[in-house]
Amino acid sequence: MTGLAAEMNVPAERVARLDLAVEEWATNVCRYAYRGGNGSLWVAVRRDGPTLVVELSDEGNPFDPTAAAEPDVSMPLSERSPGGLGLLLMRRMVDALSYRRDGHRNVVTFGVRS
Amino acid sequence: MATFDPQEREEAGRSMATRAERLLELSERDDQGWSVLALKGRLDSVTVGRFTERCAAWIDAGRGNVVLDLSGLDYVSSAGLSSILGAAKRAQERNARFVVAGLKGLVKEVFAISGFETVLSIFPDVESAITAS
Repeated sequence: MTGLAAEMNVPAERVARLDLAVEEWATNVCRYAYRGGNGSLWVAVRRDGPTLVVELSDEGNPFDPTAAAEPDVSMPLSERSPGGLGLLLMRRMVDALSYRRDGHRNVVTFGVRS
Repeated sequence: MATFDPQEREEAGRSMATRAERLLELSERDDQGWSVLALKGRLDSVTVGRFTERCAAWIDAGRGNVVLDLSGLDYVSSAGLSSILGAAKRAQERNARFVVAGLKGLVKEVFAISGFETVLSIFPDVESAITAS
């Protein structure tokens, strides 16, 4: 991913944002998609014009990150929990986010403009 | 990791630990009675275990108030935020103050998006954190 980003002259700061989005989604897949069992996560990186596109696929339970509700970030310290925060960050870090269910796979696609 | 060989797993575990050390540097110093914990590098799912352990040890040692110096941090994920929140709560339980200093760039933005700027005491740098508190 960083290799293609360098070729495309995507600024380091934008790559870090993409890195964060990928980490948040991958963490989500590791924790929930396979209900604690083993499973795979495929990562495909490509260029689409000026956009760096990362596509993440897994064969876990259906889960649409674009449909999930955002956490209430105005709650005080004692009532905060980390759930949902990862998805919120993921959404805010990328320029484009889409989801599709492809047969038995979840496919999440991120786009970051260079 | 898709490996069931115990030795392979152990080696993989060791190399992950080494990698975590390279990705996140932790240091502690005393400054005017405050314990300044400085983080340098990345606080993410790989490095968060080390940070949680060290931070808990420093807080439990009861050296008083804590400033988390994040001026050297380039990257923080929700796993990192969670560990910082955990540390803040732990300090609170021990009646120690816990403040954060030196947010910048992407880390500052992540804190803002997560609403952490309203639940934690945040200062531009360590000096102002110690002076104000």
